[in-house]
Amino acid sequence: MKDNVEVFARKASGLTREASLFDAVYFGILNNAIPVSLWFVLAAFAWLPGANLTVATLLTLVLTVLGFAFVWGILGGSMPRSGGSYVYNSRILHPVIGLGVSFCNGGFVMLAWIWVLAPWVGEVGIPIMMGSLGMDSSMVDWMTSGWGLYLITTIVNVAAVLVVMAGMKFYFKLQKVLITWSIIGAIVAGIIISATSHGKFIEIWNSYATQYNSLDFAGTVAAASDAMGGIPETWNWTSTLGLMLPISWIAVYGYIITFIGGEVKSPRKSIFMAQILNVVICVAFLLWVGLAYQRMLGWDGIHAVAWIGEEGLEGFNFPFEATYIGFASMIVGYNKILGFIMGGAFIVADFMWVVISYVAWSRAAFAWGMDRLGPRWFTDISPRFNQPVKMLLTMFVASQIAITQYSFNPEILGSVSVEVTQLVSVFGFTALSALIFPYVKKVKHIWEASPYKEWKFLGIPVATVTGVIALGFVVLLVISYYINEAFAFMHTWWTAIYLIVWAIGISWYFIWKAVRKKEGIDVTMAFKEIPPE
Amino acid sequence: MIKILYVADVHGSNTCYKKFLNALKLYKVDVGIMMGDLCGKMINPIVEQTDGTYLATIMGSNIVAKTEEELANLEKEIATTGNYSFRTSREEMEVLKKEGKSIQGRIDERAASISLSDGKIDDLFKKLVLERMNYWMELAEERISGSGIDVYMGAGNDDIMQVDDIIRQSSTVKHADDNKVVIRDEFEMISSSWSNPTPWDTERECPEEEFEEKLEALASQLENPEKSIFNFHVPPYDTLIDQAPKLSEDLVPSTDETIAAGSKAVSNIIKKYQPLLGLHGHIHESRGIVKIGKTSCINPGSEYSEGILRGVLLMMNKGKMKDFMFISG
Repeated sequence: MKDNVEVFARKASGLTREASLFDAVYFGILNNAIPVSLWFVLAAFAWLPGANLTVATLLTLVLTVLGFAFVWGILGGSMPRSGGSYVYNSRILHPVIGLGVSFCNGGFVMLAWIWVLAPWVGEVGIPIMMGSLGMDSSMVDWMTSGWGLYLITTIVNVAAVLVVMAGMKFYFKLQKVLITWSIIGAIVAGIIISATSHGKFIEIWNSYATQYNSLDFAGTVAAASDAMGGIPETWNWTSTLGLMLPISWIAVYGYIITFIGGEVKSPRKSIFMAQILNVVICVAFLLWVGLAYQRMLGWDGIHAVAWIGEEGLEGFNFPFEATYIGFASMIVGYNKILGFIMGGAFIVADFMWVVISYVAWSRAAFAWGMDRLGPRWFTDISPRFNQPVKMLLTMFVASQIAITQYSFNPEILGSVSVEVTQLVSVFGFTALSALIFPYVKKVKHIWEASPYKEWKFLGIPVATVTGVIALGFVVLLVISYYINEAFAFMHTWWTAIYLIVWAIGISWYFIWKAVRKKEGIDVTMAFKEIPPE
Repeated sequence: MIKILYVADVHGSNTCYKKFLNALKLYKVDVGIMMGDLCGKMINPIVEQTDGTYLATIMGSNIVAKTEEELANLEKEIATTGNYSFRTSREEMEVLKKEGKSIQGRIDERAASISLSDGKIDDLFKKLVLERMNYWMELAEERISGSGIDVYMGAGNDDIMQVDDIIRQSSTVKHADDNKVVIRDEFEMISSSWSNPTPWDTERECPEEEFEEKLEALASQLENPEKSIFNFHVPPYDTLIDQAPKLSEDLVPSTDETIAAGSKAVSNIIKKYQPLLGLHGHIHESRGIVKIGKTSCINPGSEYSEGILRGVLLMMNKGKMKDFMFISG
């Protein structure tokens, strides 16, 4: 192999060093909300009995790395300053599709995430925190539904908007502090669980059972099994595939690395390594803590406690929530410091997800505004706050309506439907963009300038291969959603919602196209192919 | 109505420049403005090997050209990214390398062994930069002359001073820098290629106080500041359009922290005179539009290294900006 030919740079050239790979990976981890994702995966045994955590995790790992990580890596590395999937899809597929994807994601999905995640602070997070501090979590039952939940959620929602209005500098600083806390909390819980054998756990459980007049471990498992209609003796593929949906939470959302303004991207280094490492680290973490938890509880136990966490159980009188944080706190005798760290980890990670939803919505709408696919005020930036205040307030109003609905009809599994909607729209269409990227004439010059154009597998561009894998992964996850009985009650509604949202998104494009046309502006010019010669 | 296409920061990209010329007719504009950072940043030497082939390293990949056609394609690919190609021998490369200072670093998206220019390499840069500028002026003459489209071009802080002379000599392109022009007898426009201090000691930067004096001198020429356009390469300070990744002392960019890289002098002048429009570039990532009082300040961003032309179309009517639309093609 020949040595590289040195290039000459002007001194006044904007030369920088390579951005830290660690920073890029960590940036991705910030978006994975590990304690929340972990809780969700472990809680899934209630509605996906017989899921094989190892198989589901490893399958998700491989498909995420070879699919999504590569897709985002290639597109992000080929168009590092483009601004993300709205632009990739508009350029490669069509502006209508680009806007449809962006509308579905930036508009509807972000609203839906606020709808389900903001209430989790009160519905799930605060009871967990109470329990981990050794306080009776039933004291906060009032905030887990109805007006109590609405009140707490409103406080969370207001706080989230205020964080964004305080500016991106404050947001990033807060994110670093809170997410670091959340990661430490998850690690602490992981260490405690790993260090506790099955036998030791039962011993601790039974001693507290006596104290709280609760069923002993064996009795609890038996009662939960009866309530569940039995615990499968072995694993099954249907539930295992279904488990890939919550596992994806911890695996795929590091894709946000692609949005780091072009500063970590190097043709063969940081962007790929960051995307891949992010997935590997987060999934490895899940595997570590998840398997340790399963070993500690046993096969039957992990199902039983998941059921209790979801449905409750007569005879289970422990004062804390049946979650990995609750049990970790129990093991360390409700140490207040450790309990605060672990319990708080869930709350802060969940809160930051609400904040991120506001940031994502405002950026999406701003981009539409710049392309004149929306009212003029979409590009208004408040001189006082330096933020798009009108857009943030619009989302706030919409989300308050949404959380009103959730507060009186709480449904944790709604989050799975939100995820599927996002997977199909953002990840699915972006995978399609990657798949056809090498072959689309109107972006040929972008592909020709791409550092990945020479990457081939069996003669096929890696962009295409990875697009196929990613698309296949999306299809697999969608099938998992539709074949699992646990989600059946949502299928009709959410399928309809998805189609309606897309219809609105596409209509939005044509409506604003017509509006602008009357003003003498042709919006198709925003992404028009310009001859390069 | 007057339709203006504004682009910035093409950094020597032949593809972006040609797209700009083609876009003027495609978008049916009346006026085209290309302002700021016209010069490329790097030279990719194409070195003749002992077997008669030529070798270059582009974006970390070694590319071998065996025929004249392949060489021409290689040179074209380099020019698309804004770099300059230079056919040379191994012996000459050794001489040139001794003149430069080898470092590891990155410019935009390229990680490569880099030699900072000095001495002979500096001379080579000047030669190649001016060759390309002359080529661009010839292209403009060929494609725009007689079209009725007014084209303005001005340098940015990264650009060597000799670039201004090349533009001034053009019979088709009008020079926009340190002067006042009047667009279509309606909009006065003042332009400045200068910037506040940067970490790289660029060609045209000065302390904020001195910068404000320069801008004040320009603004004082205006008859109707509220209906004018301030075509300043550097954006106003601490707005949506001047956010750049924060750099450590050894120039490592942060992944999540940004700083305001714009100019306080520009902010002050805009606040004082409240022109109709501020047109800016300089920070490629900070594409957007903000208002400072009554002034709309715009940065179209840049994706020059991928050969993508970023710009903004401005629809001006009855002394006002009626509407705008960001484009990328």
